[in-house]
Amino acid sequence: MVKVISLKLNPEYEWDRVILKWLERIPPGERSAMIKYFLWRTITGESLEGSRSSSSGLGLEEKRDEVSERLSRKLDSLKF
Amino acid sequence: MGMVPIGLDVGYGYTKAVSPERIVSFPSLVGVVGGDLFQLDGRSVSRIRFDGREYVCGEAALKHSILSVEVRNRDFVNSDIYRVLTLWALAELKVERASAVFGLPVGHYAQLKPQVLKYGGVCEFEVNGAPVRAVLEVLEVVPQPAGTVFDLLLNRLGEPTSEEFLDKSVGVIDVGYFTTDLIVLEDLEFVTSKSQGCDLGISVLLESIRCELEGAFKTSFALREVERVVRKGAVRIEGAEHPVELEGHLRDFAQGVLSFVRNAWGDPRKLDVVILTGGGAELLYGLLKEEIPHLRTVSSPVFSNARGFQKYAVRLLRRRERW
Repeated sequence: MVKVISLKLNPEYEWDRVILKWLERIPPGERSAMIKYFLWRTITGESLEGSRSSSSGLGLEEKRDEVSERLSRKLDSLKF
Repeated sequence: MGMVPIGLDVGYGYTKAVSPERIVSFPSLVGVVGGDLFQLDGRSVSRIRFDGREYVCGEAALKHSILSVEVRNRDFVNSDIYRVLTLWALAELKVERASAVFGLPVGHYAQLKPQVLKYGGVCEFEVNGAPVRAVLEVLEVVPQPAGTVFDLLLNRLGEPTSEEFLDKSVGVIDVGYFTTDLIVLEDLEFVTSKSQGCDLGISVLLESIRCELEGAFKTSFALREVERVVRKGAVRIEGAEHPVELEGHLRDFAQGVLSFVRNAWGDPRKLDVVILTGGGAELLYGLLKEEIPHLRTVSSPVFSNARGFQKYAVRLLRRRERW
């Protein structure tokens, strides 16, 4: 079954803030929590993407990408 | 319905479990009950029925069971107790389809991992008479202290948020109820020779305090009672609080942990980062920091491993499902 959720946005308000408030009202659920985290991350810029957007200069961004990829590779190949 | 990524840390002393929405913790105790349990206010005691037997878990096992069992040997994971604690954790998390990352003590990790990996499948049990059909998938089994590294490295989406452990040597000291576990990662590679466990946990500290209490008050104390004494810094006898001096016991215990660390690692100051975690972290942090000045700890260290397992489960699940 497909569930549709809708949200009306008033452009006079800060949309991000309205969306975050709306997300907070979604009742707890298993998969909905993950969807919420995704939307939350996109809006707030949590995680590496967030710190990237605040940096200036393309060179630094590329370096960050490299480090981030290396870190991901290390994590994904971790053996105990 | 999708699988819920969870972290399960079924420790010898406490079971900790984390889902995206809940954190639960209870003593790793299982008790057998027979018949109804009388409660003055009509409340019922939560119980679980598995494989034809009825059990109570955690604090309820202490209070209501004639026979409560805690296991601390290496056959722990093969016991009904481990299975009941796992199912009880699922019930407490209110999750019926779970993809889990489990943790194991470092000392028994290699031996027990294959057994935990077989743990998955459909589990049928009853909670308070209501049938539950849970699906449990074991995504990965990791040494317990690794959870704290994942907790520090990953966000709730399982994405790395910090680069600080790259190119560095990181040691984790995990002081648990019955064991202390150490791991070392160099440039995020697990160093087996420096990763060890020993039977030196909070229970050793509690034992020494218990001896003193029993001598002073001429009565016996269960280890779990001594735990409450340590938390409050006082013992309640004949309706009055009596302060208990813990400093000497704590210093002796900290020295024991430090000796183990030095035997395994040499001088811990040679490691770039040293992290203290586990149920004993808050008690020992100040004392160990005197000897390891760059020692750091994490928020709610008792839950850090399980939190990290859950974040790692999210990462593994996302990789597999490509989302």
